[in-house]
Amino acid sequence: MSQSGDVLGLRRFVERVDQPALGAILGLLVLSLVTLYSVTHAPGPQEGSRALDVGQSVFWRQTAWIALGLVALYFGFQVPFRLLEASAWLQYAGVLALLVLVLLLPRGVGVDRWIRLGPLQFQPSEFAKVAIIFVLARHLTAMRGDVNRLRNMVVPILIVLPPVALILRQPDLGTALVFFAILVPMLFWRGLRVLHILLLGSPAVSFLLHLYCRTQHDGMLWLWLLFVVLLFGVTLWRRRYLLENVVVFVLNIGVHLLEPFLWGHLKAYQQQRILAFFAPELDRLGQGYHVAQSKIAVGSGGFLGQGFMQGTQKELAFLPARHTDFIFSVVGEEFGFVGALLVLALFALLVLRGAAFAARARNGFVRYAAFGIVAYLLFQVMQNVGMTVGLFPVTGIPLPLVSYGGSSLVVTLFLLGVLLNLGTRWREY
Amino acid sequence: MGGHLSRADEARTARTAYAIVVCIFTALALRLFDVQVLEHRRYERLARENQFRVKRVVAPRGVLRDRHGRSLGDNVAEYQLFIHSEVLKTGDSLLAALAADFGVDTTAGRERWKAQRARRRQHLPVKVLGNLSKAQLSRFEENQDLYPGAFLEARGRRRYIHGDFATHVLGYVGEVTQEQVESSEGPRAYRLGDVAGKSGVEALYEEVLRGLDGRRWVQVNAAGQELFELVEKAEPPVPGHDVYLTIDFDLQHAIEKRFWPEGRAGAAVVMDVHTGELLAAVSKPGYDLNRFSIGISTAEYDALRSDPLTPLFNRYSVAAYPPGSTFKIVSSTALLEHRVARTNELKEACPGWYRVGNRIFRCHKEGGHGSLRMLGGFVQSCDVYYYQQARALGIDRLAQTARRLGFGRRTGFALPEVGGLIPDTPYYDRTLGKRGWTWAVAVNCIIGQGEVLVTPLQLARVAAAVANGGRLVQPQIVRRVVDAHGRVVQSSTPKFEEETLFSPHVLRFLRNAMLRVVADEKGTAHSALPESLFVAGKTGTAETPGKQEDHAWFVFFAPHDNPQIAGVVIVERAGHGGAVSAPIARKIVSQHFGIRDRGVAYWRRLPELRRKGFVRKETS
Repeated sequence: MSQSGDVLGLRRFVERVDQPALGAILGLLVLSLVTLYSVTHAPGPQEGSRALDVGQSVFWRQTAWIALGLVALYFGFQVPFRLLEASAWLQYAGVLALLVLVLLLPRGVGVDRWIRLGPLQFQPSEFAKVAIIFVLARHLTAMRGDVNRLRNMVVPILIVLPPVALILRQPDLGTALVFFAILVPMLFWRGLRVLHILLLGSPAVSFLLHLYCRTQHDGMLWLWLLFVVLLFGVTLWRRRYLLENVVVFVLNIGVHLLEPFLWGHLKAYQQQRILAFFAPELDRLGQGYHVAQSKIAVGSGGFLGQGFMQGTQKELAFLPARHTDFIFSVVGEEFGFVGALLVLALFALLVLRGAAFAARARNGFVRYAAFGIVAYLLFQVMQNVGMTVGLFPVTGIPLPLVSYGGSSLVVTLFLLGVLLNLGTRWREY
Repeated sequence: MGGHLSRADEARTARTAYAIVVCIFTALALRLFDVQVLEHRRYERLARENQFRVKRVVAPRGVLRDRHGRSLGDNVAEYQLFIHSEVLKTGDSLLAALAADFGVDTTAGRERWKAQRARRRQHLPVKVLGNLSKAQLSRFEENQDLYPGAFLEARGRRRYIHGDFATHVLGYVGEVTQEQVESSEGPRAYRLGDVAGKSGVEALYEEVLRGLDGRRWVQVNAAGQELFELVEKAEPPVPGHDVYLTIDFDLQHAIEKRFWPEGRAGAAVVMDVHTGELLAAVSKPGYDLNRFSIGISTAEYDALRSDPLTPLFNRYSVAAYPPGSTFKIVSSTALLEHRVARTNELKEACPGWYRVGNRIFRCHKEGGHGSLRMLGGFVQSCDVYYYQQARALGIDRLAQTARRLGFGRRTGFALPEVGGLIPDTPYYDRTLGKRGWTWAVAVNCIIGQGEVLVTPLQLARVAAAVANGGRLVQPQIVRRVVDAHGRVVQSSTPKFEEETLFSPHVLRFLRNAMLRVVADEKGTAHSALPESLFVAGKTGTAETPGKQEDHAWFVFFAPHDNPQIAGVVIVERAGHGGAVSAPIARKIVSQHFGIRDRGVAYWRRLPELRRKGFVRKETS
């Protein structure tokens, strides 16, 4: 394959790859290192608490993970996508086995999502997302018939449910939600109408509305009733989909009746996070604390930011998880609106390039896999950034490419490698 | 129908997708613009508030000192163990560990937290243990990792250096009450957990002793640890003023620890006759004041309250006793000032008893004293001599003189006191009915029994008045208040009542008679005479209800020819004043004037007394 003098085919890679997308990826990785350097290396006014410090080793480990991730990206770029398509079900089976293994392994304190192999540890749920994207892409390619029909939705949903169920047992609500954030956009790309997505999502909305009413003092049940009436009106208008309408309606009523039961099944910290999102004033020092502190950090950054290594909120450890989930808050504090916008712009560039790859592809698998990867990336960015500015509840979803985190970073870079791969080979049929 | 999308549908789907992506990023960017640009100022302020905290620096409490500046109550660093309230919310393991290793009372800790929560202070740390010992301190510091969520805090604690010394003068401190917190405001407002004087001088001089708290601006991290201080913004605390008491430590300490008979309750007061300053104010038994400043347990407090000797009770100014024969100072003054009797008048012989109607009043000497003049009646403490004149004097004239001499009313003392009781016609009319009593009540009252009740402080004040020429002085307990730079902020000045109490001849009589009580061969207080100089006084043996022993009184001043101190000693249920209290008075005088005490000096000094003419026949 490689031409003479082109070590590992790197020159060829650079020539063939979509350069704006690769540039955005590398830019975000540099930003990650800069921010992590600030988090771990800025001198404090005085010796602070060891317990609150993020060790300097985090910066060097991230550097190593990025190196490993770039290898994964190159691998993702070079691997023939037909191989990915062919082995999709095998990957799926392997990932399910790993997820079962996590549940069977001796547990750590509270939450255990990791498998440790000597010095390496990784979250099988990361690999599960990869497998899900490829399996769904393969299935949607092979599937005949209208995706708007319920019977055609059964298989995709059945594909997603086992890993979701296993991950919920871990328990990890945020990651479980990611699977739906992959599934729904891929179905949309296959032709599922926006209105139908909304109808499918209505039981979840119903559930959240119910919770919202729960946090308010005067039971605002009328809000939910209004929602159901509206839903009924829509289903009357779409009479062609009778079965689908009935299912949606039954699900909504069911959620209404089962809400106390479902709520009782959530973990206490999950309940707190949801309540903190709806009513942050109820819980300023608990779960609401994270978001409040994050907003303070981001807001105090102002237009141009406090400057590199100058963020006080970051430095004094008011910001929780500032090297992982809340790293965007550090960017916001130190580099201000300009820096935050730069990060968003790089992600937007990446996402739009990815969407363009998916749109121009001739091959079904390329189409759906590329869109799945883009949807996955977009959802994480939206959820993470939204969380740091108080738009979304706190879930343990990191900011892709920027947050510290080994296996997540490597998996993301591998998927982006595949995306670049698909973007380069879009003409193949 | 079905199958894959047409080219046109694909393009439409792609357009929708682009639109959604653009919408999402625009929404995020707008939100960032809102938080970072529009609301920037608010978040900047919140960020500052996050990292800078104003910490209060509690002002050291002023030191309590004796009249010569010796320290009686100062402050020591005490370590207290706190735990963060979040830890309490989530589990018991920390409390259990602390209970096992330090004896922390877990239920009390939880109670404290509940109390805090009731006052909406649930986010503040909870104190679980005070006054840690050195061993506990080092144990905690070495094993800090075992107790996450627990921390030490050093606070100033009041230390009463001599423990139970001058209990009812110094008073004690304790945590402020909820009412104190709520009713105080401004920079000197109390906060929960603050310490304030609860009794005695600690309470009386609270405003002077507590000082003004300072403030420090510190930068903290999320764990609340101080990183550095904005020194230029610091407001140092103003320490409380030192309070110099009138108490003479050596004298009070000697009375409490050396002179006092073991296991007896009672009181002693020693006063400077020219200024009213109390050199000693003893109430026995006392208790260790430190138990209160450390934080007394309910069990300990109940034990103090149920002690039959009532150590919590201040006996020198709040207890009112029947004065017994010491009241003859008042009776004699009343008889002379109202011209009912003259000093040289010889009265009917005392047979040892006196009859009113069908009631017999006994003299303390069974065989009787024979025929006596007033000096004899006073010196030998003949009750019959006074009984005989009770009717002629009448209860109201006796009461009028007693009130003039400061009985039946408060002395103006700054610490708590009672006025005692001097009965008169309206009193008996009220309590017994208009026809329910006869003049015979005066027979009892004239010898200081019956309904008459006086405080030791009142009696000491009358002795001082006899000594200083007849002026009633206000007892003082604080000599001066001195600030941290040594400047005198306040100093006490003697306060006298305007009136002169005694006509010259009455004063001459009382001084002579009180000297003879000690010096005369028939006097009742030979044991009060020290090795040198002369003490004048009056014994009292007050009957108490029931078959219990009498209260032993001795009231005195010294030296006789140039009086400087006056005082009173009462030992409850101990017998004769001359036998029990007079020797204590001798030791007090000896201690004060630096005379070596070798026991009863009377017989050794008899020739000297004869030479001076203090022993004469006409007293009999």
